[in-house]
Parts: sequence; C-alpha cells; structure tokens
Amino acid sequence: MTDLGECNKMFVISAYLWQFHEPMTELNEALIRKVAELSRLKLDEGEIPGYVTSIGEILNHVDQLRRVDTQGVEPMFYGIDDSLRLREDEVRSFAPGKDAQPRILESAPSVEDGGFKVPQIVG
Amino acid sequence: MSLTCLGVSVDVNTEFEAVIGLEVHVQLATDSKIFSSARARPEPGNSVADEAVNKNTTPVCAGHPGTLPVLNQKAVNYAIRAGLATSCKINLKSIFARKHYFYPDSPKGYQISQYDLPLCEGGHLDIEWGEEGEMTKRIGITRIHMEEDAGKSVHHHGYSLVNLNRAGVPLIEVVSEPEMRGPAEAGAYLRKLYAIVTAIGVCDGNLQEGNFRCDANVSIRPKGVKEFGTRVEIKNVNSFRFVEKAIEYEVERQRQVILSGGKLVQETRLYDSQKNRTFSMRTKEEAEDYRYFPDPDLPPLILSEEQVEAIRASLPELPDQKRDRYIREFGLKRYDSTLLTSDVLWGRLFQESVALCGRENGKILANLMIGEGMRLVSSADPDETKGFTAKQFSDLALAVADQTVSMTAAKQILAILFEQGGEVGAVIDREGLRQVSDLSALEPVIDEILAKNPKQVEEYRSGKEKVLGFFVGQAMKATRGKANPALLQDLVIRKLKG
Amino acid sequence: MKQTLPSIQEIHDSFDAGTSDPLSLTEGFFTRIKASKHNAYITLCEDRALQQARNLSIELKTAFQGKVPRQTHPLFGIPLGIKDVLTMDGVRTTCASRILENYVPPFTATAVARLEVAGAVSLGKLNLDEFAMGSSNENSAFGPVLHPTHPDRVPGGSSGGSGTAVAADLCVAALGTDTGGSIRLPASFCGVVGLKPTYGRISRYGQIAFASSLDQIGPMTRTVRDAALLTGIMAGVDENDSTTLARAPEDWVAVVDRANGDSSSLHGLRVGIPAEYFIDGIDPGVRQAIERAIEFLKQEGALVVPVSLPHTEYAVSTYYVIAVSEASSNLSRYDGVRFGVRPEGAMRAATPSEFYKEARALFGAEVKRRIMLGTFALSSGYFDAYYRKAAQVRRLMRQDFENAFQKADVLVSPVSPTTAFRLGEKSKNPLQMYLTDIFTIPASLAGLPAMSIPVGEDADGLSIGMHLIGPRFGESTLLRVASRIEGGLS
Repeated sequence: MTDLGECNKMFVISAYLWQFHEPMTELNEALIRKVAELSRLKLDEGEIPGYVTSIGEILNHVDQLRRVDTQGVEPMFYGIDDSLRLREDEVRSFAPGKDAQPRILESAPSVEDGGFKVPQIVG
Repeated sequence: MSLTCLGVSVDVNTEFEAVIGLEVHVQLATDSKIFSSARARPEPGNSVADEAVNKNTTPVCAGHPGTLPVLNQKAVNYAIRAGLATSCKINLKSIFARKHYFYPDSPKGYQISQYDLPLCEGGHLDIEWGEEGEMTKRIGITRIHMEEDAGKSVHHHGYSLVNLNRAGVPLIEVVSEPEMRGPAEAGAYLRKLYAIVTAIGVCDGNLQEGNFRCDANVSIRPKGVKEFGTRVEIKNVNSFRFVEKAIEYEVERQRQVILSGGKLVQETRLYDSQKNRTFSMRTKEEAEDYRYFPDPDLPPLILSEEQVEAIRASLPELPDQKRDRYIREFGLKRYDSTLLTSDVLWGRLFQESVALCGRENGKILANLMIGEGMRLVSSADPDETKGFTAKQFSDLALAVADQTVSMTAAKQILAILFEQGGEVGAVIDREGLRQVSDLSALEPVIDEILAKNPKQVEEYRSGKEKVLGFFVGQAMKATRGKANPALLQDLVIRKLKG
Repeated sequence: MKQTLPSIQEIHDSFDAGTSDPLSLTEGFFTRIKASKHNAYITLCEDRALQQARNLSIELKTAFQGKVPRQTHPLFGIPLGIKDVLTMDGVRTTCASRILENYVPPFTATAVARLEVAGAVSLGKLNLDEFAMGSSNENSAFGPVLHPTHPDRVPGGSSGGSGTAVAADLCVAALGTDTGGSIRLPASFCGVVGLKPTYGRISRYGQIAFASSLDQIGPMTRTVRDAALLTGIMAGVDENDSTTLARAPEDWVAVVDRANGDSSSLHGLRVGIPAEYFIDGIDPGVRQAIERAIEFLKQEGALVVPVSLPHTEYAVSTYYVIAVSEASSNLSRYDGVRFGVRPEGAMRAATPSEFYKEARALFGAEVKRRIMLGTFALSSGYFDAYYRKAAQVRRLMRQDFENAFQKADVLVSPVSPTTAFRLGEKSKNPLQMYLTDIFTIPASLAGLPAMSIPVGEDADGLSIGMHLIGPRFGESTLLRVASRIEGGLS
C-alpha cells in the first residue's frame, strides 16, 4: 500500500501550492453557521471547527478552477443532450388496482384525517 | 421640519402616484398535474372541497425519494397559448429551475419554476377603464413562466395538516411591468387578463377555487418623480374588487406613513377583506436565498417554430377582436361591447342567445344584458350569470322586437326571472305585462292625465313641446310600462292638438 | 482471475439439467447471507424472494416443462442483490441513512421492476455509503461493509455491499449506482465486473438521487456477459424519467458472444492511453497489472495510441462542486413530514427553522458536510464562481473526451491508483477520500459509459480493475474489449 500523499502526488502538490493563494472565499465559523441555517442543519458547537477545517480544505482545493479559462464556454448543467421529452395529459394511478391514498399516507410519521401532521408553528 | 420622499419634499398637498405591478398565478385547465399523472382538478361536477385530503397525491407529488418530474405536454401548449394571446415572444428554448425553500407545503424543499429563460417574454395587453371605458393604456408583460403549485396547510389547534392535492397543479405566472398607476388600472388589467385566459380555454376561471390569484406589488411616489419607492407585496388576493380595494387601502396607508414622517419597509402584506385593510405578514429583513439552479431532472424545453405557429393558428377570437366585431355587426357602443366580450360566461350567453333570436336582434339583446342583466348580477364576481339562460334572453329580445312588451316591461321581466326563474312568455302573462297597443284601452288613461294637468296642457299648446315627454311618462307609469310607447306618443299628440 | 462462480448462463443450464432450481438456489443464498460477516445487506426480503422463487420453480416444471424460458425471461430464477438506494414497493429502502430507517416506498424503481419482470428474484437491499456518498462504504448508518476476501479492507464505495455480495457469492449479480465511480471502484476493489452505462441509458426512476446529472444505475456481475444481459434488460426509455435517452438499447449479449468466439475482434481497435491517468502515484502492483492488460490488448491486435485529457487535474474539484450542489437540493426533501423518521424533538420545536433542523438531525457527518458545501456553492453571490464555473469546466472536460475519441475507440486506465485500502485509513480526511475517485470521475462528468474489469491482483492478493471508458453510447465497444480480457487474461 503506497502512502496516500504519494498516491495522489499531483493533487497534493497543487493543493500545497494553492494554500498560498488568496482564497476565493474566507471560510469561517460565521459562514458555516449561515450555510447550516440555510440548509436547516443543526450543528453542535463542537462540530463547527471541524467543518470549518474540512470544508475549508475542500474549497481551497476547488479554488483551482479559477485557473481555467472558461470565457464563452456554455455550462454543462445536464447529463444528456436530448431535449425534454413530454408526457400526455393523462390522469393515472401510481398504484393501479389499489386504493392509492392509504399508500401515500402509510410512510408518513404522523397523519390525521388524511393530512400530514406538523406542529402549527410550521404549517 | 420638512418631510421628503425620494428626494422631494412633500406635504399634505403633494400629489402621489401609485406604481403597481401584478403577478398573476393562472391555473392551467389540464386534467393531470404539471409533472405527474395525479389528478390536477376535480372530476367534472366536483369542487376542490369534495376531494378527500391527499387523494390526488402520488409519490411524485409528495416528493418521495427516487421520484422524477415529467412535464405535461398540454400544460406547455396552454402556457404558449397564453403567451401568444398576450403578444409575448415564445422562447424556443426555455429552462426549468429549482427554487428552494423549506415549508411543509413544498414537498421537495424546492419548487420547480422557471428563472433564467422563461417560456414567454415581452408581451402586453391593452386595458380600458373609467365610467364608460374611456381610459385606455397598454400594459407591458415582462414574462410568463410555468411552475408547480404548492400544497395547502389547514390549521388546527396546536397543529396543522398538510394536503398535497394542490401540490404540482400547473400554473403560469404572468408578471406585468410596474406600469399601472391606480387601483382602477390594476382592476382593468386583471379583468382583461382573465378575459383572455378564459376565452382561449387555458383556465377554468373559477375564482373561488383559486384558479386566478393575484399578488400586487405596490409603491407610491410624488407625481413626476422617476425613481421607485419602497415596494410592498400584497399576497394572494383572489377577487378583482378586493385587489382594487387592497391597493386603494395600501396606497393611502403608504401616503400616511410618509406624511407622518415614518419609514416604509419592504414587506409582504395580506389583505383582510372583512376589515378592508392590509396587515404585515413578514418583512424581508434577511432576503430569502432561493438558490435557483437549472433542474438537472428536466433538460431544456426545446420548441420548433412550427409548433408555436400551429398553436397560434389554433387560437380562437380574442376578446379585443370580438369586441371590435360586435361593434361592427351589432352596432354596439365600444364600452358595451367590451363588457360583453370581456367575460366568458356573459359572452357565451350572448352568443347562444343571438343564435336563437337572430343577429338582427343583437342590439336589443345587448341592451338587455348590459342594462339590466349585469346590473342585477353586479354584486357577484364576473364568473356569474346567476342562472340566466340563452332561451330567456332570446325570448325576451324577440318580445321586445315584435312589440309584445316594452323595453321598460322587459327590464321588469328580467328582474322577475332573476328572482324566481321561469319562462318569459309565462311571466309576461302572469304579470300582465303584455304591451298595450289597443287604443280603446289607452284613451281613457290619457284623457284622465290631461284632465289632471291643465297647466302642462296649456304650456304645450302655447308651443312648449317638451312637456310631451311628461305626459308620455305619466301614461307609462299609469300603465306600469305596458303601453306601446310609439302608439302612446301619437295618441297624446293627437289629444293635445285636438 | 477467480472465475469459479457460475454465470447466469451456467445457472440456467443447471436449471435445464434439473440439478438446481430457483427455490433451492435462492435458499442457498439466504443460508450464505445469514452466515456471512460482511454486512453486505441492510434488509433481506426473504419471504418475498422465497415466494417468488417457489412460484418460478413450479412454473419451470409445469408451464415451461423444465426448460428455462430464456427468450421471454432472461433472468428466470436468478437471485439478485439490489443496492439500497433503489426503491422496491413494500420493501424497506434506507439509503443507509437513519433518516430513512423506516421508509417503505409505495413504488418500485423502473430498473428493478424490469429485472423482476425478466424473472429475477430480489434477495434484499445491499449496504452502501449513506445516500451513496463515499468511496469506502464506511459512511453507512448500518455499519461498514467488509471487503470480500480481506476483512481489514474496505470494499470500495459507494456500492460496497454490491461489490462484496457479488464477490462473496451472496447474490448472482447486483445493482449498483455510480455518480463518480461508485460502481467501478468497488468492482475493482472486490474483483467483479462493473458497468456504468452512458448517462440516461437506464431510468433513474426509483433511484434515490444523490447528484441527478451524474447518477446512473449499472450492473455488478461475475461475468461480462451477465453485465451485458442485465444492462440490456434495464436500458431504454422510461416515461417516468425525462432524462432517459431516446436511443434504443443494443443487443449487448450478442456483442459479447461474438467477441468471445472471435479472436480477431479487437483487430485494429484503437486503445487510447490518457497521459494524465498514468501519474507517479499509482501503486506499482496496479501499474504492472494495467500494463500487462494493455500488452494483452496489443497481442489481440489493438493499436495503442497516446491521448491527452488536459483538464483531468480539475476533475475532482469540478465533480465535488456539481455533485454536492445537486445533492444539497435533492436532500432538501428529507424533513420527516411525508416519509422517513421524525425525531422526538421536531414536534417540540419552537420555530419553523428548529423543526427542520430537528427533523434533519439524522443525517450522518459526511452527508451534512456535502449538503453544506452544496448549499454554499448555490447560494447567492457564490453561484457563478462555483456552480456555474464548475459546469463550464465540465463542458471542457467533455470536449477533452470528444477530442480523445477522435483518435481512439476506447480509453484505458486503472480504476483507482490503489487497491482496496484499510478500514479507517482515509475516513478522517474527506479530501483524500475524494481523491480516490480521480480516474472514475471524468467519465461521470462527461456522461460516458465506463467499466471496471478485473485484470489481476497485487502482492497482497487484492484485486485490480482496469478502467475502460467509451464514447457516448459506446457500451458495445467496452463489452467487446472486456469480454476479450475476461477470456484471455488470467
């Protein structure tokens, strides 16, 4: 088993060099907190420094993209080139032959009168 | 201390103008939802309330893991129709994007909408308003994009229940330029847009069920100023009159905030129609970050010029075209013609009635509908004709045309039909409203009136021919509108001269 | 090459001969699965599978008179393992996450449904990295999967359960999913055949999304022919997935059968060697095995040509920005309202934000990290610099491939610079873990078909996979090459 640093030498070197560049984004605890709030993720205070480090390292690596000249390049947002295939306007049961409604409620954690139950502060 | 607004000093005498832009969500009348084959609207004869909670919810609607959106062809066609009918440019390539927000009515945590590259852009519609529709203006339409509706939460004590029957119902959002300057213009815009989307058959137009919902962006500024003031968004009003009233209230509220030296905040407000006021729902202290990005599950929608042209060719006569035709064919006044053609149900009733009583009676028919029919129903929203039938209107128009009843009596008959329903002939007979063209019946009435009013008789004879109207009016009153007016006039003149 | 386990064809021969039948075969698998310590399965659907197998055994005797209906039911009575990222109606589907610990979907993934229609028997749901995010299968809420032959090693990820199950005889074949290498890496580490078809070949309906523009289902099998067979059954337009390709699937089994019987089938084939994929850091054992395989291809009449994929060094960055962005969006739906687990705290939440945070508290650390990264990359002010930029570089990488495929018909490289690493070895450093996928990521970004085919072992007896990358729709070429390697290289 080769040493990890060896094995990905090329990338490690580029990561090494890039630690001296001015990062595109200054990652700090405040930004992690903001992103966690936007993502609705609860982080323990103790977890935050770890995320600052690991996400910071990844973003630092990702900063290498700035070196690529992408002027005038059409972004590739999709996996296929085909245009959108449409469907006919047709009502169909997802569970033919079965009463569909109970199926959709069966997987829900809390149901009342056919509705998905949530605390009032949310609804 | 002097007050300023947008850099201009203001006081109680300053004239402010409103700046209004409207975002209208129009529900497309498809059978299935925009991205799934779940039922989108109740089966014919049912209302939304008849549908059991979550009955029309599939794993796609509920955002189950592993589900994917597949776009409804008819929804696309309808959106294009709406774009063409409002003179928009149809983008042959358009993009679906995800708009993220956490809310229980948003099953995937994002709504599929369009952001960059919407389906339609750069259209307009011509509005008319004022007492007689004498004011006209062209309002720009920025864009029309397709999106899915959200679900609905019903609140109970301490908890809420989420119903996803509505989640994924196809909508178009029609975004206007901020070019309206008062509630009447906003009302006229909504009525015109409503007339168009219902006339071209892309929307059922049921206001109670939320088929046509409006968000209004309202700000004010001292007249003459070019900049925009702080904008308030009034959300989800689903009646035209309430939109007008909400804007009216909001404009005055903003004026008072400014004149009292207060500061307007950018916020979302709701309109309470009972109290006729708006109240704050949430302020945009920290603007939502929707993180729009192209939905990788939905490659770009690519259309051909031919597809768009085929849809253009299939468009029916639009309300404005029909209005002009009615003016030509029936000799209607422009305003009357607008009234008849801007409402699908009245328009349909008119067309059906004309088919029964003949084009030559179109003008009488129009007068009956506009002068009396609409007035009777005016308390209701425009999707109402309150059970009037084409047969009733055409029978009545024919009765007026062949002088069986007078126009005055016809209006009474309409009121009775409105209250009680029934058949025109039966009502005429029952109420004894048949026009009196019998000289022997009218002569004693006129004799009595002349005898009671010697002063007016003297005036007429001394050359004041205007008093003729007075006698005819009195005679009409005495006969409860039944007298044939032409005959009556002849008879009065004959008696006075004789 | 340890090609000791019978192929689907051989199993069908044994059914025909009456020496085995679907029921006894299926029972045998459950016996082995229960005795195994690999932790390959999360959920077994024993009753369902045995019922299916029993019916098939009866049908075999009665309706089909002892002869396997290979034409109409090409997977008749074949026990499969299904990666637990694919839904099955009525069968718990967890995605190896506590947030879906109790989720029983009301619908079946198209790929699985098509295999079952073809006669396959689903044994159960295979372990994986939570939401398919990982390269070692250590990120599972149900514990790591062990390597089939070296219990101190990882099987690779994210389809680690699939790799181990196929190699350890815990199913005949398995379904994996591949977003950046999640089929090919475990196939390589476990010594089985893994095929990631062209993006859009196989419907993603019922595949719990990680990164929608990259995710693709594929088979992990004992033989190349089995991979061709499964792919052919699953591929094709699905009305439930707007991103399935319009292009019709080919008869890939016939391609494999022709290649097997024709020693000249690689004559003149141009095999491209991307300079950027043969870097210093590759394990000597891996390098030797790949070089030996290339030598074999030359002997078969292939022409080796150097090619260049100049944007390769940006692959990991590009991939992580795109994959985590899409993931952050795809994982927004986990809120414990309509499905999944709702933790106690959620009902006591005082604010909407708190409700969602409590409901989403069950994600593992790696999933949380990726959601935050993705949320960041899509957030206002950063979108252009990260997501849009990465999507542009992605286009350039795809153009690299298009240029390379002007000169070559297929590209070869190692699947990974190393063989299976030790449990815990990389789990502390996410970036190092991400770099494990440097050779598999580019084909994912470009949406190209790619395969892992076993080509030998290192000094420790750990399997080495060769990576084949084809042009769009080039599955036939991959299968042809893989089939010759399988038959000729030992």
